[in-house]
Amino acid sequence: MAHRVIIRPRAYYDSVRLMRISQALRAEPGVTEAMAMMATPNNKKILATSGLLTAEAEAARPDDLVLALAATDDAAAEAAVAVAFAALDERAGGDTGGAPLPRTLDAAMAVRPDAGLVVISVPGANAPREARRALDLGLNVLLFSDNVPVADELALKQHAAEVGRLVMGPDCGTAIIGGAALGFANVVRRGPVGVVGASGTGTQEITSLLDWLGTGVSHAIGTGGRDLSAEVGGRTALAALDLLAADPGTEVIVLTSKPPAAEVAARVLEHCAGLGKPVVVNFVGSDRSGSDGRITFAPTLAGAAEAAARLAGGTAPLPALDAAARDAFLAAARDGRAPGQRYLRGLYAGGTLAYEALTLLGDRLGPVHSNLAKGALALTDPFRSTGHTVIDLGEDAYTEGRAHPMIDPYVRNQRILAEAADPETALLLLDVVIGYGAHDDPARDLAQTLAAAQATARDGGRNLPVIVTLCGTTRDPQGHAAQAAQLETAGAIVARSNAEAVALAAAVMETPAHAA
Amino acid sequence: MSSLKTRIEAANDRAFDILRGGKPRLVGVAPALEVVPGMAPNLILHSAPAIDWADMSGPHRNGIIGAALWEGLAATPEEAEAKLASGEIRTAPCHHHDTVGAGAGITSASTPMLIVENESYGTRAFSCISEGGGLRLLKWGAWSPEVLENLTWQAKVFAPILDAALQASGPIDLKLIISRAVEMGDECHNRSVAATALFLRQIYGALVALDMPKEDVRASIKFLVESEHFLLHGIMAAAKSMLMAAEGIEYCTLVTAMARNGVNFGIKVSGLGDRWFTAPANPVRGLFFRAEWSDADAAPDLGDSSITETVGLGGFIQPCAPTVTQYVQGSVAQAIANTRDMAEICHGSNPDVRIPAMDFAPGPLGIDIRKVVKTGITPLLDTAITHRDGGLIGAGEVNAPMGCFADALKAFGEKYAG
Amino acid sequence: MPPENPLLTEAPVVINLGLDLFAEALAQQSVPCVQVRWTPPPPTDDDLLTLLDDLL
Repeated sequence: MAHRVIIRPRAYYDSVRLMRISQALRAEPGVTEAMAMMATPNNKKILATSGLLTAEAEAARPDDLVLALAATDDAAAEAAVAVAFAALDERAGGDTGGAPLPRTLDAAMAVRPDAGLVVISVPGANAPREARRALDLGLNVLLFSDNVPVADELALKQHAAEVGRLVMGPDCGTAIIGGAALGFANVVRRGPVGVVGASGTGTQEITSLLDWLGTGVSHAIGTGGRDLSAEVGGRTALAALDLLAADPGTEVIVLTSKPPAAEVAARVLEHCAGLGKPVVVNFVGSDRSGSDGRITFAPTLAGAAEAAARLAGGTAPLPALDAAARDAFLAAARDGRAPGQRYLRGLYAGGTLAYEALTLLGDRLGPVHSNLAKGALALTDPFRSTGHTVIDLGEDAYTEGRAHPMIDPYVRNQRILAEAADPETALLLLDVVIGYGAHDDPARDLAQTLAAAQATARDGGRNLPVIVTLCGTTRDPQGHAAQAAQLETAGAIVARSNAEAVALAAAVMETPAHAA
Repeated sequence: MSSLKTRIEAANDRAFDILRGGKPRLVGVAPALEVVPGMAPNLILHSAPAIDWADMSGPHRNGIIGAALWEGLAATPEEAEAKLASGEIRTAPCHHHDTVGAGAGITSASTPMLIVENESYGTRAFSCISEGGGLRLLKWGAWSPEVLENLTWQAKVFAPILDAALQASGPIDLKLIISRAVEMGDECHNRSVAATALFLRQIYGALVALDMPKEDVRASIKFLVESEHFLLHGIMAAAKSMLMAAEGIEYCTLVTAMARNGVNFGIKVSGLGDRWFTAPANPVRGLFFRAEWSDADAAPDLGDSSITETVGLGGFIQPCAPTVTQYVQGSVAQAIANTRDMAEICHGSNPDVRIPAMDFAPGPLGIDIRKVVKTGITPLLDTAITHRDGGLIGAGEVNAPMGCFADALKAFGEKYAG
Repeated sequence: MPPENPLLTEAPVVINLGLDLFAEALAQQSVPCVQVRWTPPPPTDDDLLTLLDDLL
């Protein structure tokens, strides 16, 4: 075994870049563990658990970079170090005509005085100051950063209203503005439906389905997950609704969010009713449906996309599984099930998809445990399922020292293997989200893991039916069809919407197993 | 804008205009004791900021001992050390005597000094004469009998000849030379070849016409021709004379001096009087002249020559000198990016210093401590690398440490925003 | 009245402060984007940053 721990003093790299580099290093020949991280107290703990916290690393400061790796021999370690340095020194792109990059927002404005929007994903402690400066420079702000205090969020949004600009976020992962996919977003055809979304994967699901429905999207505006809370009062959502109402390219508006605080919901709905354009409202986890002519309630993300398409004059049906394939899957799942296999295990990368699955399945199957649930159904150990379980692997408990599971599949892969070894597991329900920002080829990675998981189950005398909901479009960089094909080859059935995947999962679980 | 901000902006505008309007001219050469304010026979100056003899780095200690021997203040290095420890021989930063010294900045009573006068504001600043080329010089904290002999020759022969030539030619406009040199491949810190050539062109006629011993004139001309970077010390004194005129302006947040003593990096700020704000000097990134040397041999950043960056030369205009970027395996594109960074911490730009590689854009001028703290960008200096025990071993670049700027800003807040 | 927001009317031109990934994605879409080589401000000293707000 050869170890290398190298400190680069005062060298800052963004966390995602470092995690991608770490991930790539682990794939190098002979490398058993690799971490490139800033020497923060938290990261030092992670190094310690891997036995890589040398005295030098312990002494490093939070603005120092630590490169730590273990390999089978010295040659492999040296080769990996060289690869790491090359990756670290590689320059990010950017439209500065080949010149090195500006270091501040002001300098970037000098390079592109016509800029209208800034995407901010710096650490939460630094984000409000940058966002404030951006507003003062006349920019709209997409604030991807999380861990921004609610007081700062409120102050930013109040200031934004004064200067006539919009703050999307904090913790806003997805937007599509004027055809540009920002953050984690899909390549969606332009069309007449405008989306206001408090959640990233919720917006991705709706906009992708609007693409499949042939209707398309004018703009999708993110608000950040906390916007519709009582404290923030839906300030960004209200402003975004007004922008879409005034936008000549938008004919129908969709609003998606977890159910807001009651007084905020009332205010937002009243606002929606006065926009002069039809609004489809999806409060994820609420089963409210029906229409009053101005507002149409849709209980699912897919339902919201479909309702909006209808209002915009679209007639195409929602994409769906072929009925024969569906029936064959159901039959195989039922016939192969051993008596002990009693529970569904939903392992999601997309937070809102997980939440939607949790609420829809709860209605059908009874108690479902989750890290998203409160009270009796909350998981006591996030790393162990109990009964029916649906988890959101994007939550902090799983992402410590790692990128979001949409980028780094390692944690979910480990969990899939664990569920496969559990004799109580009857069914895996998974999501794959593609598009900009996501993993380059998530299906390849997942297919390999599923093959191993199937083998584990088979060795235990069990089957392991797998349902994957694949969120994305045909024009996404990863390609919807290519991703679906890899997953199907690995034995999974690929649903076209989360609602469909959940309905199928519920059907599997509701079907009694044959007596063995 | 609050009245405080308005006052700061007005003060900075004023200081900036003073920097821009400076007209430094080389007017003569004379022994330090005759011209440098406060100079004394037992006083040896070194590069700033202030530091006790006991705390000095190798280059400073060696250089000061060498100067003590040269001046006859001590017969042996041991005696010199004893007298330095007892205070019989005194030390002080060059900056406290209107003087700037490259490297260790070793300046003693007999050292021949370039006299530079800022015609616009009447300020006068001084710098020792270049010892010529070579890795082992007193200014690099290295001495030997040959080094001291050369100093004696400079003091006795070369300095009087150069002064006579200057008196004959009349003052030489250093601002004009700088403006032309930056368009000829100099950034006027690590490279001053063009400036030196321009200076020679002007002084040569007066030199050859001198009615002084031919052998001495010939030797002096030979020395000048062989000293590629001779004018750097004149440029440093020019920078100091420009900055002296901008000192002590109430509410002004512009930097009026940056210097390194091999231990600490220090700055002075116009609105904060004579106080140095210091932080540990950073190691220099660069290229070593011989394979035997490495980072382990290098002393931390050293010298008053960062006065050139304080007036927007050197590391602030790297693209002017593409050859210099090679010390750090750099590129012209990186040099341009560096200059853009420096523009972010400066009050304005200087039309008298144009950067050809940036379509003759004016160079950044006037370091504002507020902008340094705000952006996290600290001044970038081109600089030499000195051996821990003295001697020049490489060249490269170094960023000023942030600590001294943060401390200065806090002091500014206490004084003005209290 | 606050000024009108051109967010939905002007062609997007983006500044990206943080994750390189997002700038790369915009480059793939041919959306003009300037990546900022952002580094955390060295003073984690909040007093100093507050002082700066008064001075600059």
